[in-house]
Amino acid sequence: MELLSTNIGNITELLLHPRTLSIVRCGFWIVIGIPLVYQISKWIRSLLSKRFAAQQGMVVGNIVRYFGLIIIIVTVFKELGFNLTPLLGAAGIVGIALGFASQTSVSNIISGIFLIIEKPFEVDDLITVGSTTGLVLSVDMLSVKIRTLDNKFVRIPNETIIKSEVTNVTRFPIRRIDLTISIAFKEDVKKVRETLLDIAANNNRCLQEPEPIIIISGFGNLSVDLVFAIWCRKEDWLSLKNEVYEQIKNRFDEDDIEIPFSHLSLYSGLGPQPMPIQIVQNKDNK
Amino acid sequence: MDIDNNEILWQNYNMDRDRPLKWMIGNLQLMLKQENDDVWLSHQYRKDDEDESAGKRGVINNESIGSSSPEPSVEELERSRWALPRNVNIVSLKPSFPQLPIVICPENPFRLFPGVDAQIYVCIPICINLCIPDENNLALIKISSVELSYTWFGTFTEGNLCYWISSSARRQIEVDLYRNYLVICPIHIQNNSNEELFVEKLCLHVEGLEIFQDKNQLWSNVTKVSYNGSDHISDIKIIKGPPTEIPHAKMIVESSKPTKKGFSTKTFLALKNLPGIGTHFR
Repeated sequence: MELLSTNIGNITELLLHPRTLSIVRCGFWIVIGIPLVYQISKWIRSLLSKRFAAQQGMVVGNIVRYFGLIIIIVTVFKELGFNLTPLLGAAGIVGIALGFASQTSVSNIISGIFLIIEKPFEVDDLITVGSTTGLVLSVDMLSVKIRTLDNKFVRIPNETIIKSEVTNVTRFPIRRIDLTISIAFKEDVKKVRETLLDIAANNNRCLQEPEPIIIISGFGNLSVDLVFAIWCRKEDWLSLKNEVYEQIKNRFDEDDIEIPFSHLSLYSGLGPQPMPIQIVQNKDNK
Repeated sequence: MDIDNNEILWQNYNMDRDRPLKWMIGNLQLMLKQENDDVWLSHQYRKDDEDESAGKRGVINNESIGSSSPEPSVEELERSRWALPRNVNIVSLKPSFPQLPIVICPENPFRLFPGVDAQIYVCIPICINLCIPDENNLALIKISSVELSYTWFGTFTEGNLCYWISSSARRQIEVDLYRNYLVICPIHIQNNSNEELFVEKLCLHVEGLEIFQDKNQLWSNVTKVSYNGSDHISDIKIIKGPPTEIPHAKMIVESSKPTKKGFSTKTFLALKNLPGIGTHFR
């Protein structure tokens, strides 16, 4: 009985020992704190993504997560008895050194903040940066991740985006399709114009307004060149372009409107004279 | 089993394995057929040349729509297949407004003097929801009764994508306007400005409207539009309850976006009045 009470006393003493309590508190921070930080950052990300843009939710969620993790790490070190003052002093010196070494990264982070504030594009927008066109997967602190239309992954540093011309293809709900059409010089442009407008009028996916426009862009070597511009919803752009080109080809065939193509004429000797042809008979036919 | 056009459309229908259900609503041919445990849904829009009275796209014609039409071949139909629970035997048809605002282009535009008001009646083609009542009104298909074309209303940066229809915009309601696939929307326009109002196009926000049924005809609430001048936006107010023409009609569809008070929006703006279409080309 005495042994039992001694053991219980030892265990109690061990449990109440400051070192043990520190370890328990560290365990609490690690086991409860870290999942909690992740959960809170997830909630914030989800909430802000719904209320604002997806990338804003993503960035604020990341900031909350990193900030929470730093607090937990500092608290755990403090609980374990580490004096953080010299560490922070050293961190300051290391920070200066790192600052010089990581100018590009810092520039990217600042550019990322400008991108979030200015919001030239959002996640799922189709953008063109330089020669790269693709869908925005994420806007992160250092870079923008893009999936190109042929399914390549491209990472563009934020600094590059800030310095470059960026085209947001899907910013507005409607887009214009410019169709280049060539017709033979002999064709009646008025008739062609009516045919094209009729094609647009009978296609439900062509917008009524803004109205389709037909512009004669010039006289080419072989043809009268026209630009037929129609408006559509941004999601219909590619399929409608194909569809209308097909309809134009079919209607031109039906209405005998010639789409000119290159002809090659052969001349021998003098240009204006026709090519001389000599008929040679076989010996058997003599 | 062909559904007669004069029957009330918005009701429950029993599915029969031997006989498919067929509806002819507006330009739409809709068919539901049970095969083994699957339900096949198919639809097709009649082309203009198949029925002269159907008119051009987006044009709501006042001619009679015949219920008999050539049977489309299976290849022509757009089909979808559903695996439904075995105990599902009933489907129902429910009407709804299209999901986008409607730009109405009166066939004969009219002018309103300052201080003058006028009421017009516009027919909007309904969307058909084929639902399963036993499965919490799960919609198998939501499809417009007439193929609608799109248009843009507003400026390039602040406008809305809308559907476009041409309408006779009559001043009096007449029986020949009645169609089971059209909702008659009374619009009351008040010119509160000091300038003449030329009603060439107007944008109707259907998301705030309810649908009422009077026999086989659908109606909406009265929309009151107060025009305050070309530099101001118009005030819109939706009058609660059925219009005065059908005071005892039953509400069958609630508004998708109810508004307690009125709202203000651009209603009479026409895009062709805006700069930038021709000059900014290329």
